[in-house]
Amino acid sequence: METTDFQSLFFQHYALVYRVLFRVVGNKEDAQDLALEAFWKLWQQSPAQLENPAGWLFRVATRLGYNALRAAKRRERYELETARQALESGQDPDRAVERADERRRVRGVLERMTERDAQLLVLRYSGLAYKEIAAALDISPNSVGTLLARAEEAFEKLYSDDSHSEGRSEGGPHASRR
Amino acid sequence: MHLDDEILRAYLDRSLEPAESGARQADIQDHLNACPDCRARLAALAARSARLQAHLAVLDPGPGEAAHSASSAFALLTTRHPSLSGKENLGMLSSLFTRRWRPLWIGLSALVLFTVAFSFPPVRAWAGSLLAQFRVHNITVVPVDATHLSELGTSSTIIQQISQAISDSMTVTKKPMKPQVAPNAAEAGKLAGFTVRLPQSRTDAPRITVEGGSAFEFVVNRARAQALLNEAGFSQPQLPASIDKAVIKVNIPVGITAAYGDCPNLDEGTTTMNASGSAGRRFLNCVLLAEIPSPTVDTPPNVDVEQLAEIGLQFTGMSPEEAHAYSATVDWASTLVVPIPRNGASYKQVGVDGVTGYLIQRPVDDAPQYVLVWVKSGIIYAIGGLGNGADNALAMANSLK
Repeated sequence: METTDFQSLFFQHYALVYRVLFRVVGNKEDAQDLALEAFWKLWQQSPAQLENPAGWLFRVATRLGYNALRAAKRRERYELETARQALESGQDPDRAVERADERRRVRGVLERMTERDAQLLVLRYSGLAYKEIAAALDISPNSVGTLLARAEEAFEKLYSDDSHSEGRSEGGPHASRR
Repeated sequence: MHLDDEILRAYLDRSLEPAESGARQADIQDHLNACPDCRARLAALAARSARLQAHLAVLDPGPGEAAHSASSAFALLTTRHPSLSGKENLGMLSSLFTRRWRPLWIGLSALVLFTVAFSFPPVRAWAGSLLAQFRVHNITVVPVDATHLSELGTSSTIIQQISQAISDSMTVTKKPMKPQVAPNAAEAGKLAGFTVRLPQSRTDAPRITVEGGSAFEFVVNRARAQALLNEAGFSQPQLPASIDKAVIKVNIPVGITAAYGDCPNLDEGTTTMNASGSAGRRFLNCVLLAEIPSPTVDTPPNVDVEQLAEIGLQFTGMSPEEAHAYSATVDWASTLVVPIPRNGASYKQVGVDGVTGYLIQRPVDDAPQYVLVWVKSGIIYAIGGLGNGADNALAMANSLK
């Protein structure tokens, strides 16, 4: 891959890749490391394979993110790390705790969905276009609308089930169903 | 016939598959106009989407969690993998890091007018805010709430005051070159200093004008700027203190316009086409292709661009909260923001020339306009015309060589 093209791609997509990874792993250092790793893999690709470099990039990035997340121990560390950073950044402590709670809840819901549905939501609501989502998840662009509508419905159901059950244990079952 | 949720969902995202989207979009619109049930379901889907947006936004980086700038991330990547810094790029890389470029706001109108040969009325296009990019790699389109702006526009003293404030503190360090007509792409490229590409899909020869190439700098007076913003109703968030006395240097490179068909004479640097009446019809087959390398901006390193962007976005009609959320999604160091009137134009993302660009269409009754704009390898391209030639524009764009 040409250096100038790679650099262009890097500058074009870095911020978004970071954002997507941050949403998945919830931690600044790891999000950055994984983002750089994704770009490094992109650099190593031969041009012939890259019809849609952005799509490929996001596919790699989400895969890296979910692999990282699946290690249960690390997830707890991420949550703690996030809370610590929030407090250190001088945010109002109540607000920081609220936010950390909300994040835990949203991530909990995402983990109970199929990985593909969770990825679909993260990518779409990070601003990716349908074509890029399709390339990232290896589905047809025509089906993105369909799958998205269903994923959104699933999310809301899980989210409201969640808020109706009291005293649920932290960190629901890790769903690796596909 | 009722529309199922899946089609409505794609319609909501303006993402019906391109091959069918022309006809389908119109069919769906027609159906929605006639069917309250489907309208209600579309509204429900939109509401649900908004709720999900809010849920997922909680996962976003908060203060202290934001990414490092793309340039420092790239530097880090190069440190870890030295094979990345090709010899030819070392110069550009080191200049990026030592001077610590930062993006800032400048008059977008100058840039947009050059790269987009058709301008919407000045008040709308400029959006009354200052926006500039350090090096453009991305484009994003922001719908501008025209009614909001026309309120601002009628209070023309504010626009005047802003212009005055800017020009008072501005020094032109390099005047634009006298426009020169070049006989072919190669000659134009020599004059302009970058490889000029022309569409192979056209057999006629364009009139190529090489022009531009200006540089200017200005010093910001924070108190005066804040007073103007307050008067215009944009007092939150406040301009950062670090911007006071900031010296901002802008360089707009030389670019080219290639005019195909019968076009108005652009040599005098006029870039508005009067699209109504007989003049409009005379230029119906005019297609303008503009190419310009990314402008660059040099500012003191401590200026917080995201904050400035938030203020500027409010000129488009966003509330402070929306502007805050939107600002976080854009890498201001590398994104060109194109404002378009929300109710006067439609836009969609399209694949063009191997990247993602935007097709903006303005369906004015007797003279519809379109502009196709994209960035490739640090060069901003735009193709614009009257009528319904958008498909031809795409063909031209995809045949550039």
